[in-house]
Amino acid sequence: MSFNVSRWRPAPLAPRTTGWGLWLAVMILTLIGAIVSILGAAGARAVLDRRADWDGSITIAAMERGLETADAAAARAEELLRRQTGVASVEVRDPRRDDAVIAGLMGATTSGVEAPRFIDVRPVPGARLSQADLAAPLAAQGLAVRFDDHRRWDGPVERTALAAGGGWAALTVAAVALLAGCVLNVAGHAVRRVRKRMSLMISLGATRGMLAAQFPGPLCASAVVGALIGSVLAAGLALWAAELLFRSQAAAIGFDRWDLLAAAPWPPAAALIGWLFARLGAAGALKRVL
Amino acid sequence: MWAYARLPILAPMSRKAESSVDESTAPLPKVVTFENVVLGTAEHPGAAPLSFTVEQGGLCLLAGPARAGKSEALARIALECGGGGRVLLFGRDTSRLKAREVPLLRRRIGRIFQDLRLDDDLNAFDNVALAVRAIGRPAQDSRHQIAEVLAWLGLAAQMGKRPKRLSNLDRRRLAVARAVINRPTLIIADEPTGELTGKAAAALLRPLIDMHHVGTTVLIASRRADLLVDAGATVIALAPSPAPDVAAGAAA
Repeated sequence: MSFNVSRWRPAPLAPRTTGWGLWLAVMILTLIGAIVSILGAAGARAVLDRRADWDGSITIAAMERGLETADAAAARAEELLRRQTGVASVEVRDPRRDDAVIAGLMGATTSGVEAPRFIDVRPVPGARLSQADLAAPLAAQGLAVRFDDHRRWDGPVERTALAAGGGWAALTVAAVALLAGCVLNVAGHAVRRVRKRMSLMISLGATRGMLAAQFPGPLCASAVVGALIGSVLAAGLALWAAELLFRSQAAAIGFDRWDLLAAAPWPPAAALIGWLFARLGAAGALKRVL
Repeated sequence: MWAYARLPILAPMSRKAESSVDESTAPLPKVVTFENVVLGTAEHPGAAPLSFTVEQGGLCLLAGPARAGKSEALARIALECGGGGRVLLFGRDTSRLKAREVPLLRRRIGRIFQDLRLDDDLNAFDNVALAVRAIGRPAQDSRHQIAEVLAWLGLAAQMGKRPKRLSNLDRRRLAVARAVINRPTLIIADEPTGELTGKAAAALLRPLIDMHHVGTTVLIASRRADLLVDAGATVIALAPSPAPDVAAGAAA
């Protein structure tokens, strides 16, 4: 077959393929990184939800006593609490929601069991309202109540959120660093594979910068393909795990499918890391071998 | 040559002289100047200090036996190594060049390496295109020029073949094509004919002589002092002796 000048395209100066190594390494690292991101997003959302729910509020559990049912006790307590100074709002929770939570956790029906009724009390911001201030009028009216002051959970929740955030950041940084290391290594290897060609190009007047610019393309493409597969796998795994673990507790814990979007930045991030470190790795390797 | 007289690389090269100066009497610019250049290493010194000048448009033969320092002399010109003495390239002292100037000067040189340094992973066309790409020109814009040069050198039917599938003569022609494609100011060739003799060697040297005729400076290193005897080349004889024998007209 004769050579067609019009259809000729310059041959790539860098190796056409980078092999399975980079592709596989990026896929595994992205899989880990994306799972960590999804967990981080879900965790952050859970913390925010809890913070919003609990921030500065007090839950009071009204129990049955004697002939008075928990529902009646809750209604009376609500009436008393509304009149209390320093209380911004009082709300008796929907019993069906509480029953669903208890049923989910216990794994059995609560029918026939007299469950307490929960009342959410939100103090006026800045008001120095203590548990004792609320307990006194209720006790005086003979109501059987238990207090759960959410403010005592603020510290542990914040510390847990901080630790989870730190862990997420550390794992993400580690994944990115490993990814960058892989790309640097593969870029160096690619340069060594075409060392003679690079040496010739330098002799003919090429600059190292011109030559280093030839390497990011194929490496970046490999990284993006690996990252895309890793991210999709991570999203699939997260969905599967959520379905398996949280099925019975969906109402209490929940798994928002929007959390899966946390895996989305990984392919463009892998492309950016691939391009940048391929360029740096190629420039460094060219300096060493030429 | 006549069939290819309109090739861009065979257009006469203009002299860089002031317009007010009469070109017939003005001294030709010096392309390469060696001043007391010591070839060889401290442990294995080669010839005695070497001095010569190659003027623009000149055709010179650096002749000498093996290990006389021919390849090293060409490497000094191509800015690949340093050493004793002073080498001026296009009037610039090569020891005082900044790193970023080196590639720019190399782009003005067309090289034929002793071992040819053809890339066996690329076809003949891409091998020539490497020289175009090395100077930062888009190779696709030069593809018709590459095709013309390959055809001029008798490689029209070999463009898609890899060097290892070419004959020895065609491989050497391919190296010539890569050296001339950018229309360099200076061509340096290290044993371009190799073991070729007679008509084959003459056929290989013809394009280089044609380039010389249109104003390109050509410097060829060879063991054979009679290689360019018919072309009127200036012969610079190198020998592992205390003093090189510099032919008339070329000595500094």
